[in-house]
Amino acid sequence: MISKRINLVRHVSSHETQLLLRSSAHYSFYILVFLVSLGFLILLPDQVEYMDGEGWYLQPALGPAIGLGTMLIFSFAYISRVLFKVLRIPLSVWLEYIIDIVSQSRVPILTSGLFYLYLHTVGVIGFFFSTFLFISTLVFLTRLGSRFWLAMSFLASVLIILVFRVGIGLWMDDVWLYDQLPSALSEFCNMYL
Amino acid sequence: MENLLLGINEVATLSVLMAIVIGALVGVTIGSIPGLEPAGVIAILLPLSFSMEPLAGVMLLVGVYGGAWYGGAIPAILMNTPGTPVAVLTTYDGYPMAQRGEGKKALSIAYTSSFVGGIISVTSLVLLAPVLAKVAAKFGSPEFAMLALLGMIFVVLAHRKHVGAAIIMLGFGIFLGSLGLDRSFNTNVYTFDQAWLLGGIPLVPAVIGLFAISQAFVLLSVRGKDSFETKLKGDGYFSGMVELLKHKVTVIRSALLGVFMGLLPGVGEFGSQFFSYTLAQKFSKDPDSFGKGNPAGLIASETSNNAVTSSVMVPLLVFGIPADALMAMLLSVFMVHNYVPGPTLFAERPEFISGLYISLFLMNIVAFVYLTFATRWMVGLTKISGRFIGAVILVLGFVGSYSQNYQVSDALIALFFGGIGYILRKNDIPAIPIVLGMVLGPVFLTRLKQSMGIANGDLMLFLERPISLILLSITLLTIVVFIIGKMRHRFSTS
Repeated sequence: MISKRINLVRHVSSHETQLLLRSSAHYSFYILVFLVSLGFLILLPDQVEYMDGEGWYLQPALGPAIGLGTMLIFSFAYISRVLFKVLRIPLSVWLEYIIDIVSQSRVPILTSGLFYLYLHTVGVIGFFFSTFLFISTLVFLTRLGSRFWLAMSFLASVLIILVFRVGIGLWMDDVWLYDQLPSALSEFCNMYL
Repeated sequence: MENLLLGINEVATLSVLMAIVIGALVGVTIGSIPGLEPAGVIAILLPLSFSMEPLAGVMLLVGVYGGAWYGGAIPAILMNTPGTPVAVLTTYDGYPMAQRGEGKKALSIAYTSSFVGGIISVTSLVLLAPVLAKVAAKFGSPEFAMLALLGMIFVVLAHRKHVGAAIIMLGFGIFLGSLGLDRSFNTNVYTFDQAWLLGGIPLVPAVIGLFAISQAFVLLSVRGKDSFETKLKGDGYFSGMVELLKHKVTVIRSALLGVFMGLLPGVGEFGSQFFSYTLAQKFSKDPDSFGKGNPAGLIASETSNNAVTSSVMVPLLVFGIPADALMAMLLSVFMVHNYVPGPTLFAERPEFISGLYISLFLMNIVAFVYLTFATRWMVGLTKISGRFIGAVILVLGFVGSYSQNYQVSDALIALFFGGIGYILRKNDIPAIPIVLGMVLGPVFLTRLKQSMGIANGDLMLFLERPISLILLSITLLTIVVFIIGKMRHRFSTS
């Protein structure tokens, strides 16, 4: 991926640009901070009411203004050193670069998606089954797909249930799957699983 | 004496004793697993501690924190991989000792040094806190505003190589801390008409996301081998005590440095460890052997980082100003139980303060005894795959963020902050200033508004009050010294 990116850059930019793009993960973060803080600062009059007759020090906007102002000034100070050079990099190279960054972050992105699914399956199939499914899926996807790790996932799920549901009594909403069971069993499952 | 008895009475309950033992054991275990940082686990345990008695809740978190620094020495010495970030310097001399067949001796030195550092730290807390509490009783809003400002400046400057990034993250934290309903005027601040934002950004899911979930992402992203095989060799686990007696000066110097550094917000273990190690090398008769398995280096590193664990509580207990991310989390435990840190806490809850002192002593004893006898099988924990731990952390992250308000939306907030935390980790940007901004920002702003309201907006108020003036001068002096240091460094390198 890195060599592909460098090849892409080579035909459109100088050696300096290549170096700049290699470290642009860092700069792109600060550019993002700059743009976000600028956007929020523009929204300030809309999002925070100005209190007539009150001193500047009592205004509700003081906190956000200090926070966003700090972010804006220091992120600008950071990117200003390379801003003009960064602006000269063609959009196509930037796009390729962003795709590269996303592909490098595919594990957290995929994991976030699975975590989001997990949060929503807890109310459908219950905490125990969703936890076991979630851990074993992650373990399988990260190339630990043996019987040993499947057993470990099961053991971890049982331990989590014992500690949090049985031991501490963590409250959770009634589960759709358990509601389909006979009432005594349903009550037990809703309480402990 | 009466307070001591009250303290013993406070500690001698099953819940507090269980919290001390479980906290210390969990901390030691976490510390011994490379890649698993205590901050993430403490964040997960935070909502659980809310439902416990105040002392039990505090001791559970402090036990994990203190215990982890003990356990971090195991992988640092046996595998050249620090179990916790502060065990980096432990690898310098610990690993070479293990390589030449002195693994057990090195571990013994590490445990004993940590124990001595920990006990000296608790003693300093017992001696310093009541004295400083009397000073703090003279503080008004201007002084607290200046102290919060000083705390934020220290936290930023402590990230020496990333000061710019730390300032930006602190600003982000201040912004997050000021969102929600402004109670002074009953007006919304950046809520975008969303009811769930009226209460502001909840601290617990944010902390779980920044420290625990982001860590899980990193662990799950590791390709290839992420577990270790280790073997123990050498003398018994008690040989370290003899070695400590040979290096008494190094022990005392490192412990005192650790205590002092713990008092300064944001400086903590890293600063103390670095200075202690450097001084130990400087005053050694054989400085060249440092980094090649000199026990004095190991003693300096381990004594100083554990000497921080209790003294770091002084600013929180006395002034209500958290010195690091864990103390910010502890502050929320205090607040949940309506225990307001500050001079009044010492007057109104002497039994709690005494109980805390006794518990901290006990925590160090539990961690030391546990490690001395259980190292053999604790070494086996390094065989657990980091990816499997990552998957389990995510589930615990869900439980931790959900259990405070029983809302799945809190887990989604944790996931959002997990993404931010991951980006920060990838770019080597510190996340701690965000948490301190979220906690210290509102303290600073509230006290500033109170002060300015009294003085009708006259900023001279901060110069007219002696303690406020001193704190402001220290803040400015710290900034000036830092800038001069940076400029000197730039000139010398160019």
